[in-house]
Amino acid sequence: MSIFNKKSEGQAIQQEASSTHQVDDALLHAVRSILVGQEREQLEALDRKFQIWQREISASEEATQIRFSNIISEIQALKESAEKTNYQTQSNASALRGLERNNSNAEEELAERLTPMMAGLIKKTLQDAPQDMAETLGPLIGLALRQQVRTQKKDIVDTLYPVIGETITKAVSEAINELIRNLDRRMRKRSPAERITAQLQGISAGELFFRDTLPYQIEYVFIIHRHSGLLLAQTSTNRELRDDLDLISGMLTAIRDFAQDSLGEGGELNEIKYGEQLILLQTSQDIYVAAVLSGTIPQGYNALLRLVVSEINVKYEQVFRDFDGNMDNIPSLENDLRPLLYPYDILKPTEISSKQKKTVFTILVALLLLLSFFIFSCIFTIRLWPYAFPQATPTATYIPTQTPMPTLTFTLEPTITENPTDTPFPTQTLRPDQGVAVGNVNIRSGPGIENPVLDILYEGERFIILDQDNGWLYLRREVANKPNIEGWVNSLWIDHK
Amino acid sequence: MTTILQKKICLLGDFSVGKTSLIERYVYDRFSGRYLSTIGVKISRKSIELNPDTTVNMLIWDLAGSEEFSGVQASYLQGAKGAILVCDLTRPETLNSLKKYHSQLNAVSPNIPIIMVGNKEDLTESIQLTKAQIHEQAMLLNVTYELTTSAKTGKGVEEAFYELARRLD
Repeated sequence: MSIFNKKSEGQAIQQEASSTHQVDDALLHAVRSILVGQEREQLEALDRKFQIWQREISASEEATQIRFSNIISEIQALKESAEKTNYQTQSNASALRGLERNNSNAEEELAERLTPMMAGLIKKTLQDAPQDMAETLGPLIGLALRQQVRTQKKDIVDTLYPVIGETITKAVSEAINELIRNLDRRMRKRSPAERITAQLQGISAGELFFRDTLPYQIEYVFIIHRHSGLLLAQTSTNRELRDDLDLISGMLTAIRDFAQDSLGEGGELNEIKYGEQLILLQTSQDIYVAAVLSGTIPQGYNALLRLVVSEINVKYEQVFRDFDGNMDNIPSLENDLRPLLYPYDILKPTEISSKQKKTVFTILVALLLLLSFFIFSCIFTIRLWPYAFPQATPTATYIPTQTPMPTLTFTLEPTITENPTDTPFPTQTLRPDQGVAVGNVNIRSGPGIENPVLDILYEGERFIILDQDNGWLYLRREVANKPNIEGWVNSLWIDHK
Repeated sequence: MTTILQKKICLLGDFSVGKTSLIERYVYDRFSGRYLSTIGVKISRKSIELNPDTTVNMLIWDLAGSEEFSGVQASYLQGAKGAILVCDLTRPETLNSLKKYHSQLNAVSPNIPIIMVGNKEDLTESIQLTKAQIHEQAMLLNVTYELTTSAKTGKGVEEAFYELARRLD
């Protein structure tokens, strides 16, 4: 019971203390409120603010943290993306290399496959569409050729020479053959009179033949009104008339006028040469004639041109002067122009000049002299014939032969003429053992040049052959006033039977 | 039977008034334009059938005009039976130059029919010459017919040649 009492007592004490304490606290609180209430409130406000700031900072930190995390995440993502891109790039590069390799391989494969087909394809295209092929390849081939000629000129020349050289040779050969045939034909046709004609023209016969033989072609002849340059008439060897000759006539006139205005009125434009073609111009009072020809101008053609244009102008003088462009008023001039198209029908030496007359006179005098000499020779021969040849029986004459070693039939003991004549008579018949020297030759003591010379057997001296030895003859000279010396001579210098 | 008249006509005017362009469309050409710059002339042909019985073959001498020189080569004008004087509607000075060409022509081939042409009518924005001015010049030079043309569109070109052909003797 006591315990309970004590306990209750304690509790009471505690309660009492507690109430006391509460009173104290209240007092304290009141005091505090009186003393530091305002500051306390300020502190509390500051504390609240601090807490708010703390929360804000905390929130900001969190937000920053979150943002930073996000950034990190983004960087990470970017890094990963970059790595992926890098990887992709590498993969692509690898793939590209692979593709390139494949492409190269494919091209090589394609080329390998196409190469055997190309020849066939080209051949087929050439067969199917040769014109297209030519049009396509033509410019390229031309360009390539030009390039090659520029850079590899020597090689091209070396390559083409066998072909072109042969072609040129063949063409030249054919042309020369044709020329020779023409020359030959014409030479055969020419009479001596025509040869003289050539001489009269002041040129050699060969030159005349050559001129006649050289190919030429008179293509067109046309008459142009000198004042206006209008075409009046035209003609052609092939009968094909050009429809642009009126323009050509005008241009020719313009060129003539241009030349005259530029170089002076004194001259005339007589010819225009272009390659193998030549335009000959011959002017008259109211007209001029243009002849277009190729090749060599026939001899005398210019003179013929001058003559024809002059005649035409005189013949139709009034027509040309009154010409107003009406072609009905122009007569047909074809016949008048014909001589210019076919000049060889007409071209003959017309008038003989003084020089030509001298030539004719000289030839005639020469012929006369030749004739006189011939007649004199004949008379002289006839008169002297009996004296020159009194008997018809000719004497036998010695005819030397070239045979060095004839078959010797002489005897070693010849019959010597009892009374030899002093001088040799070549016309007399030689015996087999006789001979005559055809040149000066040494008489030696033995058969050989090593033997000493005894004397000289002169040309024409006679001798008797006594022996022979290997091309050498042992003989005895028999000439008047000379000792009959015996010795060896070389048979080369001896004529004997 | 058709009568063929051959006539030489000359085309005169300053450089670049369009003489060559005028004839390029309607004539038979054989020679290229470079002759103009070399010997100063290019010849073309224009055939016009005046009626079933008459055809005029006009040999047109296109003479190189120059503002630098006094005119054209006089010998080229010899034998001309007609002429076309050409000016540029966009350049008034080319109209005045026609006096010079007319004078040259008159000295060599007097009393021949002449047509005056104001060319480049298509350049409407740049035209500086009126028809009245051209008419006045035509009256002054005693030219009986004048017209405006355009070599570009072809307007009046055929008419110019036809009118000249009609007036040729």
